[in-house]
Amino acid sequence: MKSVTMGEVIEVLNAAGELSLTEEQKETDITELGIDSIAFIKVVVALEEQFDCEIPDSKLILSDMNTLQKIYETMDALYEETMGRDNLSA
Amino acid sequence: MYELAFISNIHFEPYLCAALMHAFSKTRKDLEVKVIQYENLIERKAELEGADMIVVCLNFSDWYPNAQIDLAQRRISRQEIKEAALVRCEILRRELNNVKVQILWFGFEDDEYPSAAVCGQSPVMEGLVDEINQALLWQLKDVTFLDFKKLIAQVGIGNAYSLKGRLRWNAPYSKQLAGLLADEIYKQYLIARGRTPKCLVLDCDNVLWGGVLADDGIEGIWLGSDGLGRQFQEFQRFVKFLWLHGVILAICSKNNQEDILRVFREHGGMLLKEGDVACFQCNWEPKAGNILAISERLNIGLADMVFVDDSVFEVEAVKAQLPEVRTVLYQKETIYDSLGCFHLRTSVDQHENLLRTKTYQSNEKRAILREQTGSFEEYLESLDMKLDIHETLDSEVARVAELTQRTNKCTNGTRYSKEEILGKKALTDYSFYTVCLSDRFSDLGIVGILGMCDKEIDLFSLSCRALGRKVEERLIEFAVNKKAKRIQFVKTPKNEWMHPLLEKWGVQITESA
Repeated sequence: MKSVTMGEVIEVLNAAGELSLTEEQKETDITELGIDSIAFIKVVVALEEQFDCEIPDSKLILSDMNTLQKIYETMDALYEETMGRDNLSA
Repeated sequence: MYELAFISNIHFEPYLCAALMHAFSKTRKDLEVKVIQYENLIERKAELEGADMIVVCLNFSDWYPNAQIDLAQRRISRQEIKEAALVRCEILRRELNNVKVQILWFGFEDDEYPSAAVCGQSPVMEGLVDEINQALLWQLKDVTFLDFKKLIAQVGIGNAYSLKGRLRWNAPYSKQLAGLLADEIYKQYLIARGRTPKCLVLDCDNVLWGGVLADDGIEGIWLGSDGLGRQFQEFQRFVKFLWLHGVILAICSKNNQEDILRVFREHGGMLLKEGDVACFQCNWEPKAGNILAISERLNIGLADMVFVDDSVFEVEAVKAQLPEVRTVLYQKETIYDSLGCFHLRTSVDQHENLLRTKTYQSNEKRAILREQTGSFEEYLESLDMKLDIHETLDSEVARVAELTQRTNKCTNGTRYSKEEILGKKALTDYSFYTVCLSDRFSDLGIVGILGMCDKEIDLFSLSCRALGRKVEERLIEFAVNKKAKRIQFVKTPKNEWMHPLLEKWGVQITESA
């Protein structure tokens, strides 16, 4: 998995979700900006392709990933977990 | 804006919208895709009214996930499942009754059932899904019914599915399959609009038969159902199929024309007949000049022609001198895919097809008469033309719709599908008029269509077969006599020449985008 930065998450979310979010809006509920279940699918797949990872199904609930901050934290935690696993196996 | 409404009981995202944008971007950048879930159709029905195309793609196993088990345990019969599925489809079809646009309906598939892993390749549920598709093909009126299983076959069952997508969000199909689906939808869009080359110009040596006729003689060329000649006979079979679906054929070969005709008339391996070919242009002159001559004789634009030759030299020469002509190098491995540039309807009126070819063939006689007569007026008189303009009959709707799609030169730029014509025919203030033409050499059949609403010409299409004999003027005169004052006009590089003619008859031109 590639490392995660807030900037990249913003880029992916804006492109896949057709939004224009900035870091200042990291607590904004994206469902109020038009992100529905269909758009959420596009966002998830775009995140997985960008960061070369697979987000666990248990995390794929729109209400748990409905802000930029929550998405970033999910991706960052996934990265940490993946790096930890890689270090252990090495 | 071109609106495409996609109705399904499963998800095709995140891939389908992007794939459709990509497919349609070849000719238009204004595509808007509306994805409507089957279960939300009633509340979103109003959105369909603005759609320019509707695509229906329903998933059988989503509706009947336990079908295999229930059938095995005899909890339900095949007939019951079949009837239930057909009723659901009919209900959906009726919801779309008021929408007079192209409807593409993809059939069900059963390749995703995993029973093949244990039972081998015996038909799933004894072919139940195929039976339902067969019934739908006949039951669904006025839709274009398409085989979804063929798309799966094209990409391969192993590549068609996404387990992750299916389990996460009921999106069982892969990105690859979504791409193929989008390409197919775009192809059907082109077919409905008649966006296809009209004429296939063929070389003969090593294209229609193996070998070189001038060197090998008629007895020495390879052409037959086996051996070295098989690939050429199979190619002729495909060319015949194109002809049966409205493609005009011309031969352009560096040979003596009589020798070429002798092969067409006498060789037992020939599937193509002399009567299938609108024009033979065979001599030892450069092919670009000959293709130009074919274009003029058939009155078909160079951009509507596809040239096939086995010689890189000939293909490159034509490409350089006639860049509008689409050129294809004949190679047995790639020729069928290369001819995918044609976008053809499956239902073609064979009577009209034959009339069209005969018209082109009899143009030779008209050309001779023209040389023999003095003035143009004398020529027209000696043609003994009979022009019949009458209110369009329901039985003619499919043929005139096809005409509007094919016409590029003598047209106001409006193109209507069969459904659109039927919709307008139902209006009290709209009239359609069919134009039929015959002369002493042949019956040209339906050559034009006029559509009028109030004092405005909304549709004006005249086949190029009828041009060059003042029929276009007589049609404008007819419209003026029916009180036409204006014409809606979409200007293209090919129809601009009509402006002075319309102005001469006092018809005001209103240009639209």
